Amino acid sequence: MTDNETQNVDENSPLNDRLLAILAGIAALFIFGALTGYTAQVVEDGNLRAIDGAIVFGLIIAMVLAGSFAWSKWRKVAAEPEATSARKSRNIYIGATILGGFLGAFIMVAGGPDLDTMFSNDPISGAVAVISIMIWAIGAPLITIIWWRVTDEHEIAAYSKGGLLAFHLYVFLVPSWWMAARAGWIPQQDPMIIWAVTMVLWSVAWLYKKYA
Amino acid sequence: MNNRLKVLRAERDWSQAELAVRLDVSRQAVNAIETGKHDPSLPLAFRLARLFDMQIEEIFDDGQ
Repeated sequence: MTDNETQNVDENSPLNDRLLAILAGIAALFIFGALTGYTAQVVEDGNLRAIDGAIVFGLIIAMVLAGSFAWSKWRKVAAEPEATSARKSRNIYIGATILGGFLGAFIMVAGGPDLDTMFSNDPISGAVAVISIMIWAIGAPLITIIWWRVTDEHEIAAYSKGGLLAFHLYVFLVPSWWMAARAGWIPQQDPMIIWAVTMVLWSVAWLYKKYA
Repeated sequence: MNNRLKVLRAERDWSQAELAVRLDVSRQAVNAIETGKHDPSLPLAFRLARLFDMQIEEIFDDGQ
């Protein structure tokens, strides 16, 4: 196999380094969330058992491994030449991730006495609601518009196809759940669960269409 | 849609990333066009044609 052929095989690999870096980064973030939640629970219980220590240690090791893997892959792709539109698009992702992280941390810290307030339907103060809504309903759409204007057509197509798939999930899921709840088979709808499922499908389809 | 992008790129000894920079798109976009997973818009097809100094029909073939 010639050098050119080797290069082409690598470039056309469905699971390329960029996707692996992103997936490993997301895994590291999830593990960090699990570690934080588990540690907070152990501290709240005030009863540290050996199994708790082992789980926390295991989560730390898994997080470090996932993070290191993501970083090693990212360093490799960072060496590639990059178009201006791709660089701007990536910088907007980073900005959006920081904003999303800030919003999540803000709701967890200021939203109520429990750290899991982000994932509950408990009441929150008007001030927290106003700031959160301003970030999500004004900041996020502005970022999306800017991202849309700088991003190349292939990624816009991946984003749109993912969005269309998620929209169809919403169209079929909501009335089905509504009917099943009215029949008493399942609990009433929680809009945030539907939102989360829709967003996960959108994101997975978007990443798949972009990288696979 | 079939295309000759991979051959044209190889003739110039450009990597996908280098072609992507010249077109101002991501490397994934170049890969998707080369493998037929993404059909470029007319503006991008014209940019490709100008870059390779060819007609669009000389690069892309709709099989008709």
